Amino acid sequence: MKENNLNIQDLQQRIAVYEDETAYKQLFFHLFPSLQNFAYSIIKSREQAEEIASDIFITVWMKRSSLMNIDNLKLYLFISVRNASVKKLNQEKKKTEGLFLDEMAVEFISDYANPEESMVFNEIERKIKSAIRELPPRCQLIYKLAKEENMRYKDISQLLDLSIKTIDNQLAIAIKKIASVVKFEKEKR
Amino acid sequence: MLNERLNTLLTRKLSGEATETEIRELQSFIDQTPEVEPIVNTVIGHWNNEHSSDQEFLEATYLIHLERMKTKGVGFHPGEHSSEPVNKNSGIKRIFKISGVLALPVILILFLGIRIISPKSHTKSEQITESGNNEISTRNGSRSKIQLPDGSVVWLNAGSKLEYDKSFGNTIREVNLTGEAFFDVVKNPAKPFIVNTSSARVKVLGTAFNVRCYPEDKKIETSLIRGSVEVTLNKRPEEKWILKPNEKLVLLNDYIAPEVKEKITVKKLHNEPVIAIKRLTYQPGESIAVEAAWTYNKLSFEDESFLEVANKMARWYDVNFIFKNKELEDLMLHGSFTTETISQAMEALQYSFKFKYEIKEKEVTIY
Repeated sequence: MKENNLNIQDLQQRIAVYEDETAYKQLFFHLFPSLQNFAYSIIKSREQAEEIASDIFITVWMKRSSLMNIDNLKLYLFISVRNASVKKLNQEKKKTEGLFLDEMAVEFISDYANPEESMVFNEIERKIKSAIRELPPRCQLIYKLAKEENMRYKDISQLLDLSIKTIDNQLAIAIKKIASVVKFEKEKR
Repeated sequence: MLNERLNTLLTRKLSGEATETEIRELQSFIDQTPEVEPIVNTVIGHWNNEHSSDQEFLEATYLIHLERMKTKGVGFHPGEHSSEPVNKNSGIKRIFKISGVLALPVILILFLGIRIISPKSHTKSEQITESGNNEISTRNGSRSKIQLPDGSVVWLNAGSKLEYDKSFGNTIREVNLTGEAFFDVVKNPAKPFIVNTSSARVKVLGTAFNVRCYPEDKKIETSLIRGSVEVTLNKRPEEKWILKPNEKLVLLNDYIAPEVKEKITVKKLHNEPVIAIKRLTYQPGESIAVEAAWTYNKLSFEDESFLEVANKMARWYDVNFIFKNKELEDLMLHGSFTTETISQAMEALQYSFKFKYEIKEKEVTIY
């Protein structure tokens, strides 16, 4: 949502100070699909992912008065979703483990695009998509967070517990893959 | 392939991590090797390409979230959802509001669920059950038209049942369907329309689509005419299927009623995937898809086996088919009937290929 100048901080303030329901709804529309997808990549159940993301949003409203204490709300919500999902997964498997990046099922917003929109999805985009799908989950996830969630390296680093260097390298692998698809397609013509 | 350094610089530019020096370095790289420019531009274009999420589904998801919030005792206005006396004026306002959106009717076609095993003796029965649910059903060989409280119109095909709660339309519009139905749904983004069936749950806001899952048929089909629709199979709730217009989701019917199970499982489909997305079928010169033709009083079939056609005809004419010659079951047929009687229809079928039949009251024997 790069062109979208929706200011999360502004929404955060409207919810915290004015108990603004419209702001809450806007925040939901802006972040819910991303949070749900992120939960799904860990828990791999659509129903549970929707519940986890919904619960996080319920907490946002319940704790609205202290919402201004959070510096980076988006990252905070992503981390909350990560923790809730890992906790749920551990409960089910009866063990205590962290996040397994290479077992994640990464989903892209484009997977859920408007049907009308996906019909105009061009050939190169389709090729890029399937090329990205061939990358290891860790690499896919970093690409997704950087591209679709517009997250900075330091946020991704905190969310996934990886070094900035790793993120830079992994993202470069994804970009290299995309560039090679683009090059191949252009030469074909 | 891009040079390593160029690739690193491009990565940092895209992720917003590039320093000013790196941006300048990237630019001079491109200036020196102009052949990489179209590639770099396409990659940048891809990076900035966005897919907006489906607003209507988000709206529906948000309402479901608000419902969850309420059940957990968290509401926007504390005490709002405790027993509130119904204000007559607000009720009238609400009716006006609903009739305002009536101007945007959306066709929603559904064939769903399970056929009622014991047909009722009258064409249509409407009753209110003890729990306060409304229940409407039809017997084989007849179809009927009903209007729901929100103004949506439903045509019920033969041997079908539609149920809805007394709270229908309060927050969401939810119905349970067994059999086949055609929905003409009043579009109301604030109240998503949900159809529950024995094997799938369909979430829509404004769309035209068609689901068929008779237990005696081999396949379950969800066909989308326009808009967007989300289908979740009850047995695989973790997966959701989103269809594009003019596509249908076909899956092998794994829900088979006990009394027909034996008959069906003997016949295995050859090389058919368990789940596949296919195009809708149109007969030459027709603008209505075969999948929705029944709503125009037309019994249509295109490349369907005689057995499948016989199942359709059995519901349409309220008859039973018996295949003495099993080889005939797999013959592929196409055609359509409108005003033909069962005898005329059987005669017409005989033009396509040779077979013998006998109609005795409500039983058609093929041999």
